[in-house]
Amino acid sequence: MPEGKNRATRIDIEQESSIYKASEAARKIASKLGFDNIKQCKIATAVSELATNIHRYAGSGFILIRIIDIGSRQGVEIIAEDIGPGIADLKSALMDNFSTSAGSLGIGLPGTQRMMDEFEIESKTGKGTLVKIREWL
Amino acid sequence: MSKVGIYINEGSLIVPIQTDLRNDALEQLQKDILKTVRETRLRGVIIDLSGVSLLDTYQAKKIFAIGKMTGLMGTVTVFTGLSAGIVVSLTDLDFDSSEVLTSINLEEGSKLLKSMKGTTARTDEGS
Ligand SMILES: Nc1ncnc2c1ncn2[C@@H]1O[C@H](COP(=O)(O)OP(=O)(O)OP(=O)(O)O)[C@@H](O)[C@H]1O
Ligand SMILES: [Mg+2]
Repeated sequence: MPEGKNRATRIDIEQESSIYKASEAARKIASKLGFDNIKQCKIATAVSELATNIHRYAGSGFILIRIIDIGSRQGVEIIAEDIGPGIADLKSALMDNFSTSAGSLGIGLPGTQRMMDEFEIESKTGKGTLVKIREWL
Repeated sequence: MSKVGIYINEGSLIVPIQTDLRNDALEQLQKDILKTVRETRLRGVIIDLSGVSLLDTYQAKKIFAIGKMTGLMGTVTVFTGLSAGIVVSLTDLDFDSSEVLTSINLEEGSKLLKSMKGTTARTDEGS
C-alpha cells in the first residue's frame, strides 16, 4: 500500500482527451521528483502509449501514478489498468510490429518496455489488462 | 479547418503544431495541408514541432505520414524543432524515421528547402 506521503494520482481514461491529461500528469510528477526533461518526456510518452491502448482496445480504464521509494532510491510508478477484453496472445503483443489494429505500428507495448526501467504486464482474456511501469531517478 | 493555424511564408507552407493532436484533428490537418499543397505553388512544407511536448507512436505515424503524402505530390516536407525528449523516446520506441526529413529549427528548415530547389522539390517555379 502506498504511504500517506506517496498518495497516488488517478486519471480515468474515458475519452480521447484523457490520454493527454494522463501523460501531462505523469510529466508533472516526474518533473517535481527531479527527472530531467528527457526522462520526463519518456515517462509521459510511455503513459500516452498505455492510455492510448486503454482508450482504443478497452474503451475505458485508468492510470495511477505514484512516487515510490525503496530506501534511498526514488522513482515513479505508473499502473495502467482496464477491465476490457484482455490480450489473447500476450507474447506476440510484446513483440515489435504486432498489432490487431489496422494501420498501427504495433510498437507501443514493446517500445514502452524499452523506454522504462521496469515493465510488467498481466492480462486475461475477458478480464482486462494491467501494465505496471517504473522509472528510477 | 483544422485547429492548427497554417500560413505561407516565402513560398513555404508553415505548419506550427502547438497542441496535442489526435484522431480527428490530425486527419483534418492532413487534409488541409494536402489541399494547400495541391492548390498552391509551394517551395515546400515545414511542420514545426517545437511546441509539441511528446509524440507517441500513433501521433508520430500520422504526423510523419504527411511528409510521405506531400512527397507523392512532389512537394518536400521538413519537420523542425523536435525536442531531445521526443527524439530519445522515438528511438527507444524504435520508430522508423528513415524517410523523415528534419531540421533543427524553422530557419534551418527554410534554408534546407531553398537549397533543395531544383532537386526533389518542385521545379516548375519559373515556368
Ligand atoms: N489494454 C489493452 N486491452 C486489450 N488489448 C490490448 C491492450 N493493449 C494492447 N492490446 C493488444 O496488444 C496489441 C499490441 O499493442 P501495442 O500498443 O504494442 O501496439 P498497437 O496499439 O497495435 O500499435 P501502436 O501502439 O504502435 O500504435 C494491440 O494491437 C492490441 O491487440
Ligand atoms: Mg498501442
